[in-house]
Amino acid sequence: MDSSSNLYQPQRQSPKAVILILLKYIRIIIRQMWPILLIVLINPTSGKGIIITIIALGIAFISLIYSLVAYTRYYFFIQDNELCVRSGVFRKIVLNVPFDRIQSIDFKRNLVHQFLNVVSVQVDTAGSKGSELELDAIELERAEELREIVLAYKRERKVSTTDLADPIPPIPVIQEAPELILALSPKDLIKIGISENHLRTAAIIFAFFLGLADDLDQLLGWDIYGQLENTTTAMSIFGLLATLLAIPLFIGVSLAITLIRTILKYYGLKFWREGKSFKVVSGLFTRNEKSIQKSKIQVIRWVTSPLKRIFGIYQMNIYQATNVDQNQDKSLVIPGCYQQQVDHTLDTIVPDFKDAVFTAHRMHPSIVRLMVFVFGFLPAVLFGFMAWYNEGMMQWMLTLVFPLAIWMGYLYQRKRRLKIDPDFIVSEGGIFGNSYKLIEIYKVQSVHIESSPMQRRRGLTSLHVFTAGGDISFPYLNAAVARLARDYILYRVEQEEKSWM
Amino acid sequence: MNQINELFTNVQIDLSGLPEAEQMEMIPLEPAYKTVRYISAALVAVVFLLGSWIFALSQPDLFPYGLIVAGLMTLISAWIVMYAGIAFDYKGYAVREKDITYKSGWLWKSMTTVPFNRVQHCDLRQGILDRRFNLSKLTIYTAGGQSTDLMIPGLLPDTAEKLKIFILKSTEQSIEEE
Repeated sequence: MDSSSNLYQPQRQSPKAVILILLKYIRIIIRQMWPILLIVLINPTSGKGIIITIIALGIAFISLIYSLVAYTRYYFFIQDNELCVRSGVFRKIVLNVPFDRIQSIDFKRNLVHQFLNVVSVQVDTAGSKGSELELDAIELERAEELREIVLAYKRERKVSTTDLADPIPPIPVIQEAPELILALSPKDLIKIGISENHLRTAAIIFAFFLGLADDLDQLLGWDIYGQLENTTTAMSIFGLLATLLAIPLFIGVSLAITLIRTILKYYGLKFWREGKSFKVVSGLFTRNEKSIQKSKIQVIRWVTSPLKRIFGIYQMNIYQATNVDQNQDKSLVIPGCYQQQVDHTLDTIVPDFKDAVFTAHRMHPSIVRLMVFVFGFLPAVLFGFMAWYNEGMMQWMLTLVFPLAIWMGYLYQRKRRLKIDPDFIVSEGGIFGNSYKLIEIYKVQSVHIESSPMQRRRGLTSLHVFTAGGDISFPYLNAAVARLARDYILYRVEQEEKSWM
Repeated sequence: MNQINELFTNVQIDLSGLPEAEQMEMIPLEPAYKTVRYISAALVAVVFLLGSWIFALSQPDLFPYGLIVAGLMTLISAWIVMYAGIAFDYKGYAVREKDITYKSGWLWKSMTTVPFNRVQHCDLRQGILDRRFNLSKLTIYTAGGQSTDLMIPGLLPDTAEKLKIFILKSTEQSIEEE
């Protein structure tokens, strides 16, 4: 403990943190002020431009001083099994996080971190909002040391509490060698990138350009909408040709962006098991490390889409018990893996799953009628009315949402299954793809059933089963089955002696 | 379809012997809570009515449509107040040895059950109206998040306090057993 004992002394972050703190402030400033900066870049000699430049330089200078002061006044250390941080430029802020409250310690390295060989440490706590802690830059060895101290403390605690309840001495915790569950090769990444949801990327690009157009319009008076409208109303052959060319171009750009995004985000992804926890490390420039303790896992979901099915890959999400108020995504994401890797992962997390004998319950076909009414009939009437009112021939096309809803509703009902085993519940679904959501019954937090008059007339009920990391909702289930399921789940939970977390 | 009433096939326990939540005797809420519901519904209704009628009368060029909207709003407001009374009769709770259940809803019926060994904490609250009518609201929190929190309004402060103590004691016991 010679070298590590210095963690118990108040100490600053790595001096390299100054650079990172400065970059952080600059990034915040640029994000807030980019439209103004754009004016300066476009028109630097105007009176406005000079003033803004001076202000910008002033702000940059002040933030440099501020980051230096912030750095020198920031201390962290370990004391009485608490992680303590003293900071604050004007006010003094003291933050103590007891080890017991620490949920996870994750490392993050972006390009700068990698270049400087430091990591940013994110400490997630079980407290309320704003209580999580971030150390901008400390040396990797020190960060690992810190994590080891906290984990060692947690292991000890666990052992001592089980000791009280159980007279048999627990098996000493053996530091198991990390087991690699899966790694993604560049080839896998390309498959994943191609099979991602391009519609989503297209929507993001679209939203981005709309936002850009708005900003430019406000700042510089460039009326992009008006120009676009002029071009599109002039329905010349050129315009038509441009539209025809634009569609594949748009799809191509979306595809390229998703592909790049996937590679940046998931490059060199490795999924590890380290004793009692799971870890995903990935990223090309920003190296992300996320870990989940096995006992915290509440929901496992794996999905495939028609595109993904061509490559035979699934996306997997492992959800842990979270503080819902924080509303952060703390799930482990494996963007692509093959069937046997899904099986292997499930086998590692829930070994009994492979022996489970499920009874499948289907959704009543009358759900299709409801879905067609809400997602097909009502929008179709609305679009039809709009088309009739505007006399727009193209708008009549939108009423096709009605047959589309019938088709999709039918596919949805056909695939929806609630599968129950004495220990597990699996919710199956998917319209074009397939999705599976698994929860262990003893981890359920509460059960909710509800029914509308229409459902009651057909003897149906909606069942909702909640865990600390997600829920399973199954509408239009046979009422008797739903009630029995509710009674059984409650019985299991109330009899269960294992802790849900 | 013959197995529709069977939950699963490899039964280890006698499913018919399970305690059935459906057969519980529901305890209704305090009658004073009905008045509280009426008052708060009336407040909402007044805002609706004032808003829609001021809008309808101040925009004469919308002539028939403004009045139609205001008329509709009047009907909706009346319904909101009436519904507060109807819904009250369908609210109730039940406490069993190991869990607590709250049900509500006249047309859209719902029923939530939280086992005591999943309770994180509970709190008692009193709104302005609650205080006036000497009522308390008990909220039971689980780790499942907001949508799973169980809220029982319209309790006598005394009953609410007793319930809270009972729940916390049961929670402690179940954790000690584990």
